[in-house]
Amino acid sequence: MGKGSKLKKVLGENHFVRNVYYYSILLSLMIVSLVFLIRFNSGNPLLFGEETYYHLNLINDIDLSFSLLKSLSPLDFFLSFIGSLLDKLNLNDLLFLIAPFLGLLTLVFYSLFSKNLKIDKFENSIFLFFLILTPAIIYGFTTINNQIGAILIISIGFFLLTCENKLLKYLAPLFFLLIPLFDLFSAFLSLLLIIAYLIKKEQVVSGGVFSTIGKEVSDFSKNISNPDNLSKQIVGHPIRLSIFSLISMMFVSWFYFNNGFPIKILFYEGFWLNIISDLGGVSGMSMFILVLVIIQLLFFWRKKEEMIFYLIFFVSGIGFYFNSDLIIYFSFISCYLASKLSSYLIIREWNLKVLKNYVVLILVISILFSTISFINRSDEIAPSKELVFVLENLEEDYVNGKFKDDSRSNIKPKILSLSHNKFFLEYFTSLETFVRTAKPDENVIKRFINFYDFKNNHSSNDSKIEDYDIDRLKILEEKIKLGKPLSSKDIFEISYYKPLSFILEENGIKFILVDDTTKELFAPDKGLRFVLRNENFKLLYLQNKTELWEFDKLIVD
Amino acid sequence: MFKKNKLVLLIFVLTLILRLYLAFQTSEFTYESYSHLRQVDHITNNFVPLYEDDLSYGGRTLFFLPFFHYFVAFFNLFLPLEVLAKVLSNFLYCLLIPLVYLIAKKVSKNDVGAMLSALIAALLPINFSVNSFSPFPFILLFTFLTVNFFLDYGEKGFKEKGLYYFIISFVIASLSSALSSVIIFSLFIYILYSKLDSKNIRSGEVELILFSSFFFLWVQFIFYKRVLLEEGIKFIWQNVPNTILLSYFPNFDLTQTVLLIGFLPLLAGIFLIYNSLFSYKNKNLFFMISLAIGSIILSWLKFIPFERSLSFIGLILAIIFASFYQQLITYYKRSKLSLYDESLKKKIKQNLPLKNFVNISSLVIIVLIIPSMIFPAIGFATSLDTPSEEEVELFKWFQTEGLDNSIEDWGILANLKEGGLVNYYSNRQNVMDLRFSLIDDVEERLIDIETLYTSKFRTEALKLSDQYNLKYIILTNSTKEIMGVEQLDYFNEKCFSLVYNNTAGEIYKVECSLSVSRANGMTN
Repeated sequence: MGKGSKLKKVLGENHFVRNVYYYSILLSLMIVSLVFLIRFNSGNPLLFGEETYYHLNLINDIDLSFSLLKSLSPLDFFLSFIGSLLDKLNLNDLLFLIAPFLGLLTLVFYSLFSKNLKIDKFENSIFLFFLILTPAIIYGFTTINNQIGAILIISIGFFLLTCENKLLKYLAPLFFLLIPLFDLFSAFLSLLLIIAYLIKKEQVVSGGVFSTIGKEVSDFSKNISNPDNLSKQIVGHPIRLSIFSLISMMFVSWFYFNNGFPIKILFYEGFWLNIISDLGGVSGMSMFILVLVIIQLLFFWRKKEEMIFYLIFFVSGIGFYFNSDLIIYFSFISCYLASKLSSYLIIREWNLKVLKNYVVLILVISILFSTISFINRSDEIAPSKELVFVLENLEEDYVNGKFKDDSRSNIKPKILSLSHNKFFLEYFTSLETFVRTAKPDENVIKRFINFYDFKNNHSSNDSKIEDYDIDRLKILEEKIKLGKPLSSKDIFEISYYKPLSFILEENGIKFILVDDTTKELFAPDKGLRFVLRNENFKLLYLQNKTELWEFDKLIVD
Repeated sequence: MFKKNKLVLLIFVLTLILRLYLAFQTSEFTYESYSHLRQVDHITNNFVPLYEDDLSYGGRTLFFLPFFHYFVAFFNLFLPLEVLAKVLSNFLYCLLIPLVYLIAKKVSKNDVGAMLSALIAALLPINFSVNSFSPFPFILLFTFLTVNFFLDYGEKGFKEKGLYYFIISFVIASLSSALSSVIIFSLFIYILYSKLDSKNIRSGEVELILFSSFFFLWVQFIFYKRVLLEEGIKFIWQNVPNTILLSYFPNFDLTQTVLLIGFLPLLAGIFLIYNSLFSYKNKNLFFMISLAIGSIILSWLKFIPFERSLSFIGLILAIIFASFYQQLITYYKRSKLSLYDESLKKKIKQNLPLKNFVNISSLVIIVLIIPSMIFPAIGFATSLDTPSEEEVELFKWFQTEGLDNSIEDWGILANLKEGGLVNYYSNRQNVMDLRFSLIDDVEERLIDIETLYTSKFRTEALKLSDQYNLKYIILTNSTKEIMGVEQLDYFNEKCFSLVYNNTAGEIYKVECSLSVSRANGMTN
C-alpha cells in the first residue's frame, strides 16, 4: 500500500468524513439560514430572485387560464399545490422555505445514492464542501427555480436506480420521465449522467463514452426486429430502461409540449462576470474552483474514467453561455472536477510537505471568502423592501381608484421599468408591464420622425451631451423605421420630452419605475431621467433610491 | 573566491556612490514618486495606508498593495522621508548587484561570468532612475530573490531553509505589487517549455508553482476585488486614458531597447537564447529564458509597462550573460587556439593559458561594457522628468502663505503629471493625477484640464473651475510647454488675479464663479 493510499484510508476514518452527510446537511442549513437571516434583518422579502417571482406569477395565473397548463413544469404544479395548502393553513409566509426544503431533499437523496454507489467518502466530502459553499448553489437552493426541481428528480431517480431492491430500481424510469417536462437541457444532462453510471456499472471504462453509446445503439438496432431481445435489452435492465424512457419522453416533450432549451429568465450580461462570484456575478462560483477545474482539465484530460464528466462540463458550459439560469449545472460539475483535483492534491505524497498545508489552507480560505462575500451581498438581490413598498402602495392606490383614467387612450395603463423588474411588477401589482412595443405602424413611424425632426432642427450649442442624445434618437428612429420593437431600455435613453411623451402615450405607459440599477445605468442628466424634471411627470413614491413617477400629460401639444 | 566577492562588493559600493551622487544633484523626485511619498508619510503618521484619499481627483478610493510603503515607513521613523526615499531607492537597486551575481553563478557555474553579470546589472541604464521613488526596485529585488531561491530547489538544505526563504520572498513580492505576476507567468512558461521539450519537471517545482499561483491569486483578489468588480479586465491597464495609453505601453522600439539594456548583454542574450532554446540541458538557464519570455509576452500584451519589462529583461540578460561567457570559455577550450596553448603549456610547464584567456577576455568585455553602458546610464539618470526646484516652490507656496486654509474643500489646477505635487506639497485637491484606477471620467478630466489651460473663453473656464471647485490655477513652464500656451488666454484681472510667480511659472487665483452659491462663498 502506497503512502497516498494509507493517507486516504486515514482520512476516510476521520470523524467528519465518516459523518459527512450529517455535517453537510448541518452546514447547508447554517448557510441557508444565514442568507434568510441577513435578508430578514435588512427587511427585504424572503422570497427573492427574478425566477422565484416568474414561477409565483405562473401559478397565480393558473386560475386565470387553463391554456397555461401545457407550459407549466412539474415544479409549478408542486408549487401550486403547496401554495394552496399553505394558503388554506394561513401560512403563506412560509412559502420561502420551499426552495431550501427541495435543496435539503436533494442532499438527502444524494447522500443515499452516494452510499449505494459506495462513492469514496473523502472525495465526496470535498465535493459536498465545495458544493454547499458555492454561491450559485446557495442562490439556487434559496430561490425557486426550475433547475432545483430537475436536480431533485435526478437525485431521486439515481437513488432508486442504485438501490438493491429490484422493484425500487424499476421505479427510477418513472422519475426520469418527469425530467424532460422541466426542459430538454436538464433531460440531456441527466441522460449523460445515466450513461456515466452505465459505464461505471458495466465496467466499460476502457471503451470510453462514445463507444459505449455506439454499442448500445447498435445493440438496439439489431434487436429492433426481435421484440424478445429488445425487451431483454431494455425492459430487463433498469438503467437501459431509464435511458429509453428519458429519450422517449424528450421527444414527446419536444413535439407535444414544445419544450426546448430552457426559457431565459435572468438577463444578466457578461459570461465571465457571472461565472465568478468574486467578480460581482449574481451567483457564480469561487475563482479558485474555476482555477482547480482548469488545472484538472489541463493535466488530467486523458483520464478515461472522467471523460464523461468532462463532456458534461463542456455541455453545461455551453448551456450556461447561452442561458445564465443554467449556472447551477455548470457549478455542480465544476465542483465535482475541482473536488477530484483537490482530493488528488491532498492524498498525493508531497515533496515539500509544508507547501501542501499552505495550499490547502489558501484553497479553503479563498472558497470561504467567496461564500461569505456572497452571503453578505445576498440582501442586495432584488426585490428590495423599497421596491416592494413602492409597488404595494401603487397597487393599493390603483385599486382604490386614486389615479384618473386617461380618456384619450383606450390602452390599459402600463408601468415602464427595465426588464429585470418585470416579474416583480407583475407579482406585486395588477397593472400591465411594459417590456417591448409591438411592431409600430406607418402612422407611428411618421409621427415619431416628425418629433425627431423638430428636435434635430432645433438649434443647439453643439454640446457633447446633445450630440449623444441626437445619436440615440437617430438609432431609435432607425429601429422604428425598420419596424423593430422598442425595449424599455430604448425608452430610458430618450432625452427629449416630445418624442418621449409620444412613445409613452402610444404605449399607454402611465407609471415609470426608477430603481438602483436604473440609476446606475442612466445618469440623471441624460435620457428619460433628465426628462423626468418636466412638469408632466409627478413623483408618486420615493423610498430610499426607488422612485415611481406618474406620467400625466397636462399640456396638450 | 574571496577576490571575486570583493570585486562584487566594489562594484556595489561604486555604483551606490555614483547613483547617490546623481540622485542628490536635485532635491526633487520624478512626478509619479509623490503619490508614494504621500502614502509613506501617511502610514508613518497614522499607521494605516491612505485608501480613502480626499485630495486626489477631489476625493477617491485607492487600492494598492501596501507592503513596500510600510517597509519605507518603518525607516521613516528614523530618517527624514525625502532623504530616505533617495537613499533607500538607490540602495535597493544596488542590492540587485550581488543578487544577480548569485543567480548568475547558479546558472553558469562560472565565477568570472557571474562577476561580469553583476557589472552589467550595476550599469544597466534602464535601472538608473535615480530620482524615482516607487515600489519597483523593491519588487525587482524580491522577484529575483524568489527566482534565486527557486533555483535552489534540489540543493542540499533546501527543505530546511531555502523553502522558507522562497515563501517569505514570494509573499513579500506578492504583497508589494501585481508586477510579481511576472514570476507566476514565467513559471507557467517554464512548465510549458519543459513539456514541449520533454524535460522532466521535478515534483517539488510543481508544488512551488502551485503554491505561488494560489497565493498570488488570492492576494490579488483580496486587494483588488473592488477594482476587478468595477473595471473588469480593464483593471490590467489601470484605466489609463486612451490619449496617453501609448506613453504607458509604447510599442517596441529597438533603438531605445539597445540603449536602455546595452548592446553587449542584448546581443549575448539573443545569441544564447537562440543557441540553447531547445538544446541546452541547464535547467537554471532554462528557467531564466522562461522568465525572459514571460516578461516579453506580458509586455507585448501590454500587461506590464514597457519600461518595467525592460528592467526585468535587462536583469535577466545580465544573468544570462554569465552563461554566454561560460560558453565562450567552453568554445575556447575546444578550439585550436587552446591546443596551441596546451602545447605552449607543456613547453613552459605552467598552467597559464586558460587563466590568460579568462583575464584577457574578461578585460575586453569590461572595456566594452563600461563605456557602452555607463554613458547611457548617466544620460538616462540626468534626463529623468522631474520638476525643477522653482516649480516645486510654486506648489509649496500654499503651505507657506497659508491662504484660504480653511476646511472648505477647494482644488488647484495643475497639469496631469503635477497632480501628485498638488496633493503632496500644497495639500490640496487636484483635478487629476497619474493614478487612474477606479475613476469613471478620466478621459473627460484630461480634456477638461486641457480646456482649462487652452480655452479662449472665460465662461468655459469658469464653468469648469466651478465643476472641479478650483480656487487656484498653477501655470508652470512645464505646463506651458505641454499645452503650447504662454499664458491663460481668458485671463482678466477681475476674475483671475496673479497671486504668485517665479521663474518657473505663475499662480492665479480664481475670483469669479458662474454658480451663485460659489460666488457668494468667494466674496465671503
